Amino acid sequence: MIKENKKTALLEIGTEELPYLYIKPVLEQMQQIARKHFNSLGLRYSKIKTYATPRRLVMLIDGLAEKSEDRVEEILGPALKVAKDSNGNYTRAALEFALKNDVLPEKLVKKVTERGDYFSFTKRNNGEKTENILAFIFLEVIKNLSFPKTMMWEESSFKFARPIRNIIALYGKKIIKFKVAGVSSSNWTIGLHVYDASKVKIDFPENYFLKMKNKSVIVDQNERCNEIKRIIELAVKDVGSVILDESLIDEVNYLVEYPTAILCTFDKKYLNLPQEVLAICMKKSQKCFAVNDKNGKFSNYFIGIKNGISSCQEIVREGYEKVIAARLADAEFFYLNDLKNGLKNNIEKLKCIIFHDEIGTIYEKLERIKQIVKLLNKEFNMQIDDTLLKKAVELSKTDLVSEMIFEYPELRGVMGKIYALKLGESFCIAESIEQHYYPLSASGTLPSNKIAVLISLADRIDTLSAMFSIGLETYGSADPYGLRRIAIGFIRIMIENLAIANLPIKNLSSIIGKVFEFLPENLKNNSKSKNAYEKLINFFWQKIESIFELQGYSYYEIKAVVNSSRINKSSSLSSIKSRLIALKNARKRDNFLAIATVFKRINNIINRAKKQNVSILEKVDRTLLIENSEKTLFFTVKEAKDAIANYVLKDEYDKVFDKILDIKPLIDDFFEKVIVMSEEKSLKFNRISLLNYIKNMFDGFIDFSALQ
Amino acid sequence: MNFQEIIMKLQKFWAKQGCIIWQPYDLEKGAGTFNPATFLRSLGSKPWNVAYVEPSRRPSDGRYGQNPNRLQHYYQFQVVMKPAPKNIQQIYLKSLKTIGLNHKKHDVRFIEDDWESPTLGAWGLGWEVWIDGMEATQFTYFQQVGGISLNPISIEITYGVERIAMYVQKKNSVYDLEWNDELTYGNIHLEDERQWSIYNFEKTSVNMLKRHFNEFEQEAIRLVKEKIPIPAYDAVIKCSHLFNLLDARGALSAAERVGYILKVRTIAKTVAEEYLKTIENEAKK
Repeated sequence: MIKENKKTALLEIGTEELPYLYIKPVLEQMQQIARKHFNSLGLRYSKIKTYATPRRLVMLIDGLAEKSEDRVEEILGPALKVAKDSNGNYTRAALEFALKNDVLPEKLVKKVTERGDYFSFTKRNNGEKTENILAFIFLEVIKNLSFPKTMMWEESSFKFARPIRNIIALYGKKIIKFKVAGVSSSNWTIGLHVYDASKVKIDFPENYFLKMKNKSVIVDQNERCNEIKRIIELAVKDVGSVILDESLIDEVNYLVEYPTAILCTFDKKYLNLPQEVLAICMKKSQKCFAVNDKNGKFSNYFIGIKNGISSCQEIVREGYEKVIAARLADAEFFYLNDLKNGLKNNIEKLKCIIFHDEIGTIYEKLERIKQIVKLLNKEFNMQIDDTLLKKAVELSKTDLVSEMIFEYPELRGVMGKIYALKLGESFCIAESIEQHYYPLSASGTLPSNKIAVLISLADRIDTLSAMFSIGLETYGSADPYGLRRIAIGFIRIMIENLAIANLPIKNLSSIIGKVFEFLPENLKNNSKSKNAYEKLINFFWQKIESIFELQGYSYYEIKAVVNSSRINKSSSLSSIKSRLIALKNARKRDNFLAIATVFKRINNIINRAKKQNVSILEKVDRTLLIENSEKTLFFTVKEAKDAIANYVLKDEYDKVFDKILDIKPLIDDFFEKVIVMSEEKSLKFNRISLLNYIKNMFDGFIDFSALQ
Repeated sequence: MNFQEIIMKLQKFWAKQGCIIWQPYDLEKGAGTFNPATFLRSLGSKPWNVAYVEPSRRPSDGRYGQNPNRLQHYYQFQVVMKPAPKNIQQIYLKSLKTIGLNHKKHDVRFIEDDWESPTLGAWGLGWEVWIDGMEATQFTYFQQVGGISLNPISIEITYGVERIAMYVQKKNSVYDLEWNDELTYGNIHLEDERQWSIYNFEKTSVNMLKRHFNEFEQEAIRLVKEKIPIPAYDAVIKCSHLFNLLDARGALSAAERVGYILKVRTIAKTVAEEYLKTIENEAKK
């Protein structure tokens, strides 16, 4: 065996600073694109690795073969019968095929296929030298990366996230030559450009990383991340411990090519500001890390990460501290102003905040929410004092017009709570302001505060009913208003609050119907609002399904339970959950599949009978039960029916499945010994009615036909 | 280095890079981008390199002279280069050195910041440049202006002169900046800030502003029809500032606000289209 020669290949796309959020997904894409082409061209490699700094996207291919594999390909030509004429001469079809593939017609051989005999020939593709293919693959990688936003910067109008300024393309020591976006590939790059923008020559891929490190660039993002954590720990060890924020580390990691940690301080007087405010000032405005003192208390230290080596730290520290001081001074100014202004004065200002052009202002929304919470309070029997509830609603969104939220919108709710407490509101009210936004995401924490539960539900159902009334229901994957998240939150809160979850779903539906009545007139009577209620109810059912899917139930289990719930008037959200649990358990039983099959069979017979216009009676005529097995079945089912109804009432679904298991052999016996489709019409009809009687027993409990 | 020296050094630096040193445009505007030397001249294919100081007005940012960092009137130093030089980041770093900020000694960072001007129908991608955490400059590769995709692409570099000066002079208040060796920024502008804040927030005549807005909007439309887009553009600048005044006065509901922005954008767009037509016709001659 000949030993194959392998080398390492390197691609560095040198750019101006990339947005940090763009980088991770693109590293994944580079791998995929390269892998795809290596595979389809038969070029072997041992490993593809990708790296990035803010100014370079790097791909390193280890063990890349010197040439692609030889490949043998069979090419099928014209059918034999049209390839030669009656005299045995090649026809035009054959000659053209041979010409096209650059072979002599005599070289064509017969190939027997399922569709008849054909001419074919075997084409041998010799492998190609890697250095000839690699330019193509590198170009494909560069051209096919996708970014959330792209720009143009030079005359060829090439699009990329930010300008490309240099490209290293090496296979071993050889430069792989190509040109894209006006940049010719080469074997040089630059180091930390804000420090030294001179060219750095890379002789071969293996020494790239070390050479870059000598030029103050840590190319490997994992190494850089560890380095950031290490130097932060080192910097704070004498004063306390850093409040480690992984998302900030991630961001900072892609903002620097070489990190240096600088320990800074701010004036202690700002420690009077809420920690949430201090933290966001540091993180959002300055990408700095907050520090706890040795007693675990928020301190006036913070860590800034400088891009580059540790020289001139004093100058940079002074700068960081000055900027943070200005930010904190601003925040303090907002904070004191907001407190001076109070929350109640903001209620009127909400008249100027548009919730949605067609729906109206936040103020108007709150007026509706007041009516909705009152309704919910009563319907759910929450027994919260209505005046308290009204006050909580009024204050719930007052922080939206505060100066702090204008500067830091992500603190909404959080500031509301802080301000309410400072201004002497009760803890319960303050907490409800923060929690009425819960859950913040589809899987976020639910509100625990009872008032917040009601306001969150009311806020959500108001948004949904209004949005659906102006035709903004969601289609496909687009969901610009986040209606899915809002609806999932709505359902999750109800499922987790037993007082609500135990109510019949029909009651919940009728409450939702009443909510539509609170909408402004222009929303109720426009063409888009037609069927808005029905569409919303359907939307909720879909969300119920997705919530349970997330909880690990299978699609078919959910369908079987949800289908039945949609026809069962007394079914509740709790019962959906307990039936799902019972069904999941029941499916583990050995004979469950057999039961499902039997019930499907019953369903099929009934459906067929309905199509044939057989009148199915509610009651079974006992006098027409002549065979023993149908008598036994009827009386057993009759007895079981009451028991099952009783179990269902008590949510004891496991017992229901026990009962079904008891009956199953009798049904089998019935099918074995009795001919349903009897010649005697009255017998036939009665037997179908008997089957229907059995089926009815489980309607509203489980839809067996949905099970696979 | 005093305030006026910083400006002079920047002018000298960019003149050396081949930029003409333009002067401020004689209308009120929110930023250097509104100057026709940027808005109109970034359109079309002719190379264009320019640098200038732009006094900029943001009525809503007024603080009656009481906030050390916020002003309703301030200075931008604006550079536009079309096409954008390949080494523009390096050129910019060198410009910092001339005003006493040696980039090797500071933490200079290019932090993603996509720029958009809804009233001008303009957007671009680029960065905010941070010097030791301070936002010193806006750095943008223009992609569209007046809704028109650009080719070649211009780079716009906008220095916040007061911020940079405060940093260089180590001042905590803009009013303490040394304008020259005798006068401070406060000596020159503090009373302006106080009076203009009163005007912007309390004393403007809303009816008059609205009327003027409508008149200048009509004027822009009329002048475009007359095929004189350059004067028409002045009317756009006027509308934009009138809108800013109305906004600062809190005279617009959210819905009205959106409407006004849309109106300015619409005329900005028609003016840009007409301007492009004129220069293309001229090029054919």
